[in-house]
Parts: sequence; structure tokens; C-alpha cells
Amino acid sequence: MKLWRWLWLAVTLAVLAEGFRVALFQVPMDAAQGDVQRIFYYHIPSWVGMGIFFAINLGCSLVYLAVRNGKPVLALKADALAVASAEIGVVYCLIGLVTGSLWGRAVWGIWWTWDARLTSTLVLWLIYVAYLLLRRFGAGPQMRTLAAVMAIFGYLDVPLVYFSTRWWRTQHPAPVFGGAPGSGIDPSMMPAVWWNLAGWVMWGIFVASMRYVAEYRTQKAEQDEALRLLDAEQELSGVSGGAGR
Amino acid sequence: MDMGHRHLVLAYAATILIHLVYVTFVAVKWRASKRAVV
Repeated sequence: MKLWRWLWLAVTLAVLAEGFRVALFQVPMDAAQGDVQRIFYYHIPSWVGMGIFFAINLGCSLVYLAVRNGKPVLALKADALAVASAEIGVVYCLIGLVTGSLWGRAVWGIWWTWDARLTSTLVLWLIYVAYLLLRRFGAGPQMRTLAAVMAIFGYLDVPLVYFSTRWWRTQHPAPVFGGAPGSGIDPSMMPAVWWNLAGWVMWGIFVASMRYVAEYRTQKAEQDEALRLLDAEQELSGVSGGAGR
Repeated sequence: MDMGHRHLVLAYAATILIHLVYVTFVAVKWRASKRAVV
């Protein structure tokens, strides 16, 4: 692993540790909910991380579709980054669902409700799990094209998730940031949001970059092996064809 | 420990556990890709 990756990891872990300290021990307790509100400091970064990585997946899928015939190396890189970003996006989405469910049990008294925000998020998670299953069990260049198209359609659910609490009346709390006038949290609580947001996004970038390198290396090795076999086959058929003349 | 605290601890533990599982998967893929190049 290169030096810059170790440095990035060290800074990320330091930021996460500070985020943990600030979220649990420094910022004041929520007057209405008590300490369970501190779940919010892990819940929000998960959704932000999910949004960032699914957007990267969308961008890479578009690039793959645009250059797959003309620029094979760039297409391979875009495809590898699409896989890496989809995986970490699914991880963040799962954490968002789990932490939200735990918060709901403590505050609402129920683990789950089929309101617009929760349902659209679960559907989003299932779409990207299906995308990864397609990648895992499909084969060949057509699978990559199909996966890229699926990623584009899958991303249509992201704005639906985001706007669900604005468009419909949901049990899920109203938007904390960018919501109605007077929404938001007390400024004294914001450091916990910023530290954890920075830490978890940095962590996502670190893990996604590792996964990207691994995926690209594997795909490149498979492609090189396929080309080598093709060359050998052509050479063999050329020899046997020559012998026949 | 009341329910609020228990769920707070569970949420933080779940976050860390899910990340650990995924980062283990990434480490396995990383090692496999190194072998694939060799």
C-alpha cells in the first residue's frame, strides 16, 4: 500500500476518533430525546456518504456507456470505480437503515414503518444490492453494459428518497437541514455533525479507493489473460491453416 | 442502562461492525487481486 494511503488512513482514523469524542462527550444532550439523539451523528454521515458514492456510481456508469467502444482502458477504470462506489454506497445505506431503525425503536416505539422515506430508502438499497448481484453472477461485456444502464435507472430513486419527506407527510422527522424555516439543530451540536461527516466520508474514500484498485487489477488481469488466450488461439489456427496449404 | 442508551450503543456498534465486515471483504479482494497480477 502506498505511503499516501497510510497517511490518509491515519488522518481519517484521527478525525473519526475526534468525531466519536465530540459526539458522545462534548456536545450537549438533546432536551427532548435525551442521549439517543446522538445516533443522528452517525445516521446523517451514512446518508451523505451514500449520496456521494451512488452519484459517483452514476457518473462512472455514464462514462462507461460513453467510452466502452472507443477507449477500453478508460471504460475499464470507470467500470471498476462504479463497482467500488456502489459497494460502499450499499454499506452506508445499510448503516443508515439500521441506525434509523434503532432510533425509531427508542423514540417511536417501533422498529419500522412503511412510510414514504423508509420504504423508498429500502427500495434504493434493494436496487443497488440487485446491481451488485448482477455484477457478481453475470459475465462478459454485456453484463457491464447492463449494469451501467441499471445503475442509471437505480439512481432515479435517490431524489425520490431525498424529497420524500418534503413531498409527502411521513412519520420520519422533517428535514433537519434545508427544511422549513426554523429547522436545523442547535449550533452547539454542529461540531459533532461536521467531525463525523468529514471522518466517514474520508473513510468511504479510503475504502472505495482500495476496492477500486483491487477491482481494476482483477479485471485487467482477466482481460490480459483473455487476450493472451485469443492470441495463442489465432497463432495456433494460423499454424494449422498454413500446414493445410 | 435505559433503552435510549442501549440503542445508542447498539447503533454505534452496528456502524462499526458493518464497516469492519466490509473492510475485511475489501482486504480479501485486495490480496486476491495481487495474486491475479502475479
